[in-house]
Order: sequence, then structure tokens, then C-alpha cells
Amino acid sequence: MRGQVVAREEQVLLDQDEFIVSKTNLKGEITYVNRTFMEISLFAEHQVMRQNHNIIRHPDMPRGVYRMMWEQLKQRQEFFGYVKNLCSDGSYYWVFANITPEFDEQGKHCGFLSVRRKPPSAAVEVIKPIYQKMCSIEASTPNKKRGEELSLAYFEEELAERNSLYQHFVIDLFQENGGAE
Amino acid sequence: MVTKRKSSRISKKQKSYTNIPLLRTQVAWAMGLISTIGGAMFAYTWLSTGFNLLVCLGLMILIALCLLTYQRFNTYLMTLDLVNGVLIKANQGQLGSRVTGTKGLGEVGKIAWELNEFMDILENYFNEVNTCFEYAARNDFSRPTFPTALPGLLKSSLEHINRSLDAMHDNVQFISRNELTSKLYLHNTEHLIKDLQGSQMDLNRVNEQINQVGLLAVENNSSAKNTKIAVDNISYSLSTITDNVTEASEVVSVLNQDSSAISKALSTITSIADQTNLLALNASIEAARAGVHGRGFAVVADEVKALALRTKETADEIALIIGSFSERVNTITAQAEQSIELTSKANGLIDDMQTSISTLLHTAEQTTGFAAAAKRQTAGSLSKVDLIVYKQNAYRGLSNSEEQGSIDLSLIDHRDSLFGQWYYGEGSDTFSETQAFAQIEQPHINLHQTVHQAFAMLQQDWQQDKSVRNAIIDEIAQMEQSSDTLLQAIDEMVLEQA
Repeated sequence: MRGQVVAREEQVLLDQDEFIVSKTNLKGEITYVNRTFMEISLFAEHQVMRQNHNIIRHPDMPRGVYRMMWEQLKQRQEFFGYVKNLCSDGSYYWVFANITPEFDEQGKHCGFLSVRRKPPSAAVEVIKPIYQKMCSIEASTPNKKRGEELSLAYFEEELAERNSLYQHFVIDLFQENGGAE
Repeated sequence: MVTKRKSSRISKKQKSYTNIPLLRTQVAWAMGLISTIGGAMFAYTWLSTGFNLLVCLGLMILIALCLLTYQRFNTYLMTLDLVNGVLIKANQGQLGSRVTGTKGLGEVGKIAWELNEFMDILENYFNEVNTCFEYAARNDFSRPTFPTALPGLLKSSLEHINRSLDAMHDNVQFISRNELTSKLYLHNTEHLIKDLQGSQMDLNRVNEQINQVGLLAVENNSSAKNTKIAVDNISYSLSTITDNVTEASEVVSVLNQDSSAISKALSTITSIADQTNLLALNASIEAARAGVHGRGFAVVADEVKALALRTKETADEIALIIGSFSERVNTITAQAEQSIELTSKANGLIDDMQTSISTLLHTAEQTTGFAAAAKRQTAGSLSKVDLIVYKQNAYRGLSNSEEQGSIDLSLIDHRDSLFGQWYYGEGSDTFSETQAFAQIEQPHINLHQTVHQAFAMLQQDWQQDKSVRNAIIDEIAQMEQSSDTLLQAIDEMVLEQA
């Protein structure tokens, strides 16, 4: 499925009264998506069920961000991030994602829950150039893993310059710009 | 609590299963009944009118329809089962389950989606609440909840939680600041009292030393006075000696004049004796010429000659004596003159000495004055430090009930306090004549009274009752007021005495 969709410059906006919900198992395979997901991404339920969540990953997203996300989730900690996602028709939408590990009734780690809200456009404008630079770092580094490390190191520098930590930075960006507009 | 709630839910669930016949069973029975009735009708027509293919076909269609209906119904029921399962889990506190694959199930599918989205909202709401409180429990208030996109009550609930988190954050900061301030204050007073006690000791030492200086100055003063008397005596004796020497010198010069008059008289006597001798010689020549008649005269002339000779000899001897006398007188005169010169020099020295002793006397008197002023000043400072230490002990005792030493010192009677002991003792000796001294007693009594009252209020329920805490603070404010009056009066007293 992945790779069949060609990205194009058309943005779709999420409604501020809605959020996208999706769930995956431990392998990252989608087990549930809500109707908002289907409406905005134009994927039908049967098209995404049991598919890897990266089916909606946009080529403009740096790999380093996902690497950081997995490191957080592995430590059973929630992850916040601004994410550009791909629709089935190649258009895209920005979200402010919150991904948390999910536990079953026995308290066993059974999957992940992702809740995505509409991000303030000012926050997206701040994050865009950082992601672009990260992508270009990753593109210019032949070793994939090394590229992710370097792009993350660049992000850390940007954070240090702003005298902030990653999670504080992304949450503050959301709050300071009035949450969803 | 959780387990209790769970068990009650389970019992309810079991109850529902036992009392209400399941829809699926009902449908199975209904379909079975319709098929059986159809079968019976077919058997009846077959027996009464013989085999009828049309009726047989109708029966087949009926049974197939029953099976199809049952199967279709079963799909709905399976979805409803899933919905039921999600709700049961939700009742047990598990919000993670969803119903999927409900496309084409009509109303049942719609219910399933509404349930899914209701669960999405609930799960997100509780996730938000749980997570932010997990952070808050670690004193991290950087993670707010995100009320956007949640509906109605849940949204406003998260907004309230965000405001509560902000308030908690402020509170935590306030509590920490309070804790810090009070700890700092404790450190401060502990050291302040120690420092002040050090100053107290220093001042005591300075006071003692100034006392010594004062004593020395007084001693200096009296010894300078004694020295002046001795020098005056010496000066008087010296001038007496000078007078005596001058007098003696005058007597000697008179003697000298007399001795030169004697010398003149002696030379007259010597020349008379010489002329007498010459006359006697002439007389003896004339007597010889007279012969016998002149014999008696010759004897007299010889006698006169011998007398003249003896006179001359005696006069010469006297002249010799007078000469050596005159020499000695000259020596005495020279010595007397030297003596006068020395004495006048000594007099000059004594005059200088007298001047410097007068200066010394004056500075010794000044030193005594300064020492006394310094003593009054340090006594004033010392008494002020005593009061400050008393107040610090009161603060310390009030803020920490375990500081028994400070509490005991705070509850002391005003007469027995260090300041009281000074005021009714040594201070009274030095300052009792000043006006300000009398104005000190009342504020000092007030100072002790307010502190005693503040400590009495600590026996009441000050932890719960804010009015008691305020009353304690009021007493302390009054204590500070009395202290200000008191300190000012001490300054005035020291100035006045100077």
C-alpha cells in the first residue's frame, strides 16, 4: 500500500472540534481508527486495518522525530509532536499528536493510542523549518541511522538555543498560540 | 475500592445473564418454531392431499429464509455482543476496546460508531487527567491537559483541571518559597543571635578596657599633679639657693674692697715705718755727735729704730696674709658667678618642665573625659544589644517550640533580663540624672509584657485558628514598637549625659 500514494501540495485542515484517534498493536499495526481519521485521510477502515501505521507517514517528516517517539514510548512515556500526515489522495494535514502506550486489563503493555488535535498554524510555522533542515541532514547522510542521529542532534541544538526541553517546547508552542485556533 | 466496584459490576452482569432470555435464543426459538410450523403444515398437506412440490418448495424457501434471517440476525447480535463487551469492559474501568468492521450494519453499525467515539472521548479524557496528575505528583506542572476537541462538560472539566494545576503549581512554589524563607529565617536568627552575643562579649570587653583607661587617666592625672608639686618645690629651692649665692657673692665683694683698703693702710704703715727708721738713723747720728749728752737719746733712737723695723715686718706679714685672702676671695667670686649661671640654667629647665607637666595634666584630664564618654557610649550600645538579643530569642522561641533555651530567656521578668540588671544597677549609677533614663522603664516593661502575652497565646489553638496567629503577630508588632521607643530613648540618654 505504502509508496503508492504520491504526495502533493494540498493541505486539508482538521476541524478544531474533532480529534483523530487511532490505535495500533505492539508491532505498529493499526487496530482501530475513528471516523475523523477516515474522513480526513480518505482511507476506508478495511484499507488501513492491520496495516502498519506508517501508511500515513508523509515524506516531509524527518525520521529522527519517529526515532525520538519510539525511544519515548519504549520507556513507557507519552510522546507529543507536530506531525505532517499523508492522505490517500496525496494531500496532507498537520496534527499535534499525543501518543501513549496502552495496557490491557492485566496491566500488560498491549499497544499504542494516538490522539491528534488541530495544531495552531503559528506552531506549525515554527516547526516546519526545523523539520526541513532535519530532512536535508538525513538526506545528505548515507547511513540511515547516522542521519537520524545527526538530525536529532540538530533539533537538540535548536532546543538548547531556545533554552527548552523537547516536550516543554512542543507543549508551549501549542499553549502559547492559543491551542487549536 | 476498585475491586469492590468491580465485583458489584460482575454480580450485576451475572444477574442480567440469568434473568433475561437472550435475544439470540429467542430468535433461534422463533425461527425454529416457524420452520416447525411450516414443516407440520407441509406434513399435513402431504398426508391429506398427497405430495405437493409447490408446497415442498415453499417449505424449502421458508426454512432457507429462516436460516438467512437467523444468520443475518446473528451478525447484528455478534456486533451487539461486541458493543456489550466494550460496555462491560468500560464498566470494569477498561476504556481501550472498540468495535470494528461494522460497515453495512445500519442502525447497529451507527450505534457501534457512536459508542466507539464516546469511548475515544472518555479514554482521552481520563488519559489526560491521569497523565497530568502523574506529572503533578512528581511536582512537574509542565504537562497541562488538552481540552480542545472534547465536548461540553468534559472540555470544561479539563479546563478546570488546568486552572487547578496552575493553582497547585503556584501553591507548590509558594510552599517551597515559604519553606525556604522560614529555613533561611531560622538560619538567620540562629546566626544573628550568635553574632549579637559575640558583639555583646566584644562590647563587654571594650567596656572593661575603657574602664581601665579611665582608671589610668585618673591615676595619670593625680601623678601629674604630684609631679607638678615636686617640681614647684624644686623650683622654689633653686631660687632660694640663687638668692643665697648672690648674697654671699655680694658679701665677698665687700670683703674684697675691705681687704684692698687694708692693703692701702698697710702700705701707709710700711712707709711710716721706713720714714721712722730713717728718722731713728738720723737721731742716732745726731746723738753720737752730741756725745755723752746724747747717749740717752741714742738709746731711744735705737729703740725707735727697732720698733720701726718690727712695724715694717708685721705690716709685711699682714700684707702677705691679705694677699692670699684676696686671692681666695677672687676664687670664691668666680665660683659664685658660675654657680649663679648654672642655677639660672636650671631654672630655665624647670620652667620648661613645668609647662610640659601642665600640658600633661590638661591632656590627662581630657583623656579622663573621653574615656568616660566612650564608657557611656559602649554602655548604651551594650544595653541595646541586650535588647536585640532578647527580641531575637523571642522570635526564635515563637517560631520553634523546641527552642527551650530561647523560650526561657523570653519569659524572664523585665528586672531579671540582662538589660533590666544593667538598668536597675550600673546604668542607674551612670545615667539616672538624665531625663531620658526615666523614659526607658515603661517601654521596657511593655516589651516584656507583649512577648509574654505572645507566648501565652501559643498555648491556644494557633494552628487552626487564624485569629490567634494574627493576635500573636499583633503582639510582636507592639513589641517592635516598644523596642523602637526604647532604643531611641537609650540614644537620647547617652547624648544627654555627654
